[in-house]
Amino acid sequence: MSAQTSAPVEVAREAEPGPDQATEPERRRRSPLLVVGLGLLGLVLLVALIASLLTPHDPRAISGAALEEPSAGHPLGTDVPGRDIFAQLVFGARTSLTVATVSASLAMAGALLFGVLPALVGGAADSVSNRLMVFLLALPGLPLLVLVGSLAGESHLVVIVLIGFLGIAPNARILRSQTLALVQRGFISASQGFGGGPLYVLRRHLVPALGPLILVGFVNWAGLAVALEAGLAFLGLGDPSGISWGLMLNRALAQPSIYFSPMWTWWVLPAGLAVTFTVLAFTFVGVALEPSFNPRWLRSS
Amino acid sequence: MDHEPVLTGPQWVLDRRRFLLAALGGAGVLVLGACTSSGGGPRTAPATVRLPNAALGFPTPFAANGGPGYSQMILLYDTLLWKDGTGELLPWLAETVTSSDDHQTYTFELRDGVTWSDGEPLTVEDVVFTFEYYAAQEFLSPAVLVQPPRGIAGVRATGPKAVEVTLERPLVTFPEQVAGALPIIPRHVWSSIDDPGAALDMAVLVGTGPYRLESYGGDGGPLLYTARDDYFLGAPYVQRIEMNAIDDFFSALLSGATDAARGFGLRSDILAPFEGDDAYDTITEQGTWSQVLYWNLGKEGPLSDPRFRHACAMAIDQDDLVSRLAAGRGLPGNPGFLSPENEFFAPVPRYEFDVAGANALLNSAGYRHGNGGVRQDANGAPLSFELRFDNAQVELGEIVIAALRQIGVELRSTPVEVGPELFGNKLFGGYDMVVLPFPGPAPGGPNADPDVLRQIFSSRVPPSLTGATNYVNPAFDELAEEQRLTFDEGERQAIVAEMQTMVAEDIPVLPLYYPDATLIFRKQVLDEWYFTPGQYPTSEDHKHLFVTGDESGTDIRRR
Repeated sequence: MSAQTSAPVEVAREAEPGPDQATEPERRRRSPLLVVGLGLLGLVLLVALIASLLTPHDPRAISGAALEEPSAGHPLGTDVPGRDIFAQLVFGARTSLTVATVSASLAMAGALLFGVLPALVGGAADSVSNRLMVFLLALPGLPLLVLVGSLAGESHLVVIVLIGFLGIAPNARILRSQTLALVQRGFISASQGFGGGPLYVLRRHLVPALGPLILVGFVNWAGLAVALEAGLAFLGLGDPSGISWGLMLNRALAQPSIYFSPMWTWWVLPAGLAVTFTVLAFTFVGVALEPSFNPRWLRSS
Repeated sequence: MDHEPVLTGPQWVLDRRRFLLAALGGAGVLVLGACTSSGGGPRTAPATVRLPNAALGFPTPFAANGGPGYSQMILLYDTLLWKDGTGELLPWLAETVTSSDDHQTYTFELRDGVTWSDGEPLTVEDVVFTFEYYAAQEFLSPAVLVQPPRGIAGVRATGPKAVEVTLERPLVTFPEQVAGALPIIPRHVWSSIDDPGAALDMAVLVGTGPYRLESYGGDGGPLLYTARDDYFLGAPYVQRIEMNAIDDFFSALLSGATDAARGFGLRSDILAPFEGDDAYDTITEQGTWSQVLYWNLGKEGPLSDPRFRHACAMAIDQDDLVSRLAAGRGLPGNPGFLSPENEFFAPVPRYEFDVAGANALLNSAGYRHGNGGVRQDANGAPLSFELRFDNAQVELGEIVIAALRQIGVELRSTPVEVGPELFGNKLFGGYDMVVLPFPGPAPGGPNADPDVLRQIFSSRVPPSLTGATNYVNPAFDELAEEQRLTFDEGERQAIVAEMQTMVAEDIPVLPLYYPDATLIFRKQVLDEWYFTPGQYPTSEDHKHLFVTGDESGTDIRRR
């Protein structure tokens, strides 16, 4: 088996960036967007990891009077039942990152399954799966999300899975076209000629070759997932007992005339900024990576 | 048969004192108007009043939903009697009402010159038809506020203008809850309509009411009313009413997009901009509305065990609810159900907040702590229940859940949309515990006629959206019947007090708190707003004000 695989690996190496693109990693490292994006993501990740060290309060527990103003005990005050808003903010980072990573993983796994694999198998499988992806692309994403979100009620998992599901079709289309382009190259036919099955070729050659594209798709979908989850929670369609930035915004803005009071500055603003900066961080990383990995960009360069 | 006058007509006769007052008032309005207008002639009555209410259903008596829908509908229709701002029942379509000595027969003499909005005259046949049409309805949507009246033996025309209504038994609530609430509908429109809930055509909107509906933007959309100058009391004081879907009432009021806004348990920072401004005025009323916790007594086990319910009541700090959820503007719940502001309120012992006492009670009732701090009943089943609540009241739900957690009772939260999902489950008993706004889509609130107790707690009343599910107390049922046959107020008061004691002991439902209702209005547009005492059938009603511009009587204020 190892003898059979050595040749394609050699060919695969040929497909890697040529000498004129050798400076690409440095260019990427230098990209300020990437630095800022990764910096922000790192910060969110850190907050999510050490959330319980940042605040003594349980975000779900009533720990003060209603609508307290910011104080040493409650840096961002309390909400109506008297729960600490700062605790909700830092624990909300966990929810957002979980949604982002799980949804984006599901989306990319689905894209591999329904975009790359059928393209390798070819024939009816590719044709059926391609039609299916076209059909899924035609589905209006947001209304579907709102509909399913309202039917699913409390289940946070359903929302995560659905956001991931919605990411399958657009990513599958990109990965499929790249796979079709790769399949034309010699090393794939060679591997198949030596008896490599579709799964073997996918795992051994295509996933590494498609890796950067998968990474870009992952990052972009993760950013979108954060915004979608926050949007759904803001509309009151998420898990009502959960802790999330969207839910914080939902609760804050459900207060009648919240802008009459300064409390929007310590309730609406931090949650809004947290969503904004996290989505922005994913977007920066995605935008910074895209020129080096996306085949369309590469072709034009 | 001797008849005693219940209400006699000539409220509008102008005596010398009224004439002088009216003349003075009119002159005052003219002077004030001249001061405030910016260059035109003297200010007249408000051309337009804008309100922040979207359409709730379609404004016929059969398709308007809940209290807001009723108050939108009743601007197009009239009732035989109607209340003013003092709570007095006024002759409205009826010029006089008399009742027999045994209070079993009421005779309504209709006014002359009342016309439907399509020009046809109102006849006694229309009134008879209305009662018959309602009686023929087997099912109206439970969201329709005024349901077919029960206990009516017969309705017949006894003269060209006279209608006689005979009751099966004398009912003290008949004048207010039937004659004062049932919209009279035109026979020539509705006789051909079999399914009134499905009649959603503007062409069916024919009423004797003070306004015409100029436009209807669908359920949840805007409504535009214009006054009927040929209205039988005279051209209504407010000439045009615009209702628009507005999310943030008080910002809209400040920005000038609406002329009045109402809220419950308002925070100080919402009230502040209006309190310091002469352009606005504020009126407040206590006990008109509440949030009520229901246990499903139809379920075996703890839910139907009064000791369990007592413990739940003791674990919820109701004063704390007022301070957290109503910014301190409200009253804690009365286990006797009526609000402390109700004239029939009888003080009953409250379930004082006492977590240790509640735990001790559950211990003595045999509910022992099990795994994870959740208690178990004698069969080892955990005290774990689903709590449904309006998703606009998530905070209340969360506080109740946290409160009961302290006594080892686990509640799983299910916030749902107000509407079919919340009320449907309540109506059909598909719940463990639920928190509902009261009155919700039912007539009368905690300040209304005490017959509301019978309507909620009597097992002889069919299941309703706001009724106490499966509560059966034959002694209570007897008293509930007796009070509505009792015309002596002192006697009725004593019966109602006893009913409140029973309800407080059994607590099949528990009012959690009553947030104060506050109405803020722009004085320049309309300066005489008021809450109608008792607020039956709905607390949102301002029809009398819009028609007369005044607090009492049927005289229309001079412009």
